[in-house]
Amino acid sequence: MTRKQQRMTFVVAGLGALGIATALVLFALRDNIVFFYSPTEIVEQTVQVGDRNFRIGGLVENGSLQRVDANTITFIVTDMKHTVPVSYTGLVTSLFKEGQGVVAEGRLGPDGRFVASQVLAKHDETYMPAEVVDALKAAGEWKGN
Amino acid sequence: MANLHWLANPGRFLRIAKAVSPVLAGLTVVLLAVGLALSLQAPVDAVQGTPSKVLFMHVPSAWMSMFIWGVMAVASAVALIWKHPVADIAAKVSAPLGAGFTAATLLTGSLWGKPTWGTFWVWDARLTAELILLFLYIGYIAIWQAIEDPQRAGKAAAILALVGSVNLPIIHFSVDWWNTLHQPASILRDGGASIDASMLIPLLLLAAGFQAFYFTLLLWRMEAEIAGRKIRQLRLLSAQA
Amino acid sequence: MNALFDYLAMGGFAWFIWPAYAFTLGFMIWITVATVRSLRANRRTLEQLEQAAPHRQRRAQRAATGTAEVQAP
Repeated sequence: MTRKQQRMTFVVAGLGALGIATALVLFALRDNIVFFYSPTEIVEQTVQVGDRNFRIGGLVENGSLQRVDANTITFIVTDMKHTVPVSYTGLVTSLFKEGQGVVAEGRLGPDGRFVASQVLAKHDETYMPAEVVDALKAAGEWKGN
Repeated sequence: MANLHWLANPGRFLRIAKAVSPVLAGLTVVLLAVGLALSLQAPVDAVQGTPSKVLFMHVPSAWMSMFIWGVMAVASAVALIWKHPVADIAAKVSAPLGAGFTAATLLTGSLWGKPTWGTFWVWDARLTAELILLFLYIGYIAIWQAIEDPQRAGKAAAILALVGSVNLPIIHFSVDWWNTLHQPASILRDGGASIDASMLIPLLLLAAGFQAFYFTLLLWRMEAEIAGRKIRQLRLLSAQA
Repeated sequence: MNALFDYLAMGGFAWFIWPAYAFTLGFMIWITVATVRSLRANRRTLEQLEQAAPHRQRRAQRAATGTAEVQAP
């Protein structure tokens, strides 16, 4: 092997080893990198949340959003399999709506109700002007809500 | 790679760079002007409203932040294996550009997140990986500043560039591998882009403009760096004489 | 004029949208100015040095880019 080939082998082998090591670390940490849990994971208790702070994510179930008083709302988070009721006192952005994605941070009460300290609205990866949405709806080809 | 060998000669590189850079600079100005004008006129997303305008700065910056590190990693591999001095210089002068675009990505993302998500920052996988990229850029620049001898600095920096390239697929796939607040990719995804043409066209023009901008600045900065090294050597020689 | 102000207000989100444009484009302009300045300064200095000592040009060029070690005289 020439010096050049030696250096090339060294770089390729080093990158390969580093890639495998990173993949293994990420695989080992996969539960810690999860930003939020789904209602299914909470209801079926595949994760033990105890009384610590965690995040729950899913869709705001249609027809579930209720305003208790000026600042407090309740709604149900669903992943279409299981649901978790949530109550929250504070502000939400205009993106927070029924049928939209949501990530709430807080803890699970003894009654199974999730008391959120923060509610974040998730948005999807589609970008459509209102006119296009209206046209798609009129044509019956709209897949969103 | 063997056909790149002829570019390793700095004299030849400089002649080509001087011929190409005015064309690239002109292209940059045209693409950015048209892209910006169209982005300001583009409609806003029906769900997000006007905050979706931040897309036009955030997405091209984010692509550049990753693309530039990719260029640095490839140039560093070439510098380590083939000992090409020009490759070393290309990687070095790219770093401040990449760091700036990474900072722009984080800042514009923050300004976009507040009115849509409801927060400036969350520690989800996508945002955290992009923040790590900023630290990698800062570390890379710090190596060049801390080690005086350009040969040794180049070697240490090149190793960091290669090691750090592991972060690039993590940034890209983080939204698919893990639950994140950040939405998945809109353009580089299965089934085609999910952005309406009225927003996609200005976005792609701006992305092309950012690319042309990077390559223009790359050529200018490489010429400045080569000239700077020549000046240092000439002064060293005259001091010794 | 009102249409322009309405546009600039960005539906009440002006303080999120315009700083995003300003920071990104501001960075691009700033680094362009810094790059062109150092390029011009280096070109000028190099020209002066080369005129002062033309015979050292090739050695300096090779040494500067690491293609050969500098030989002490």
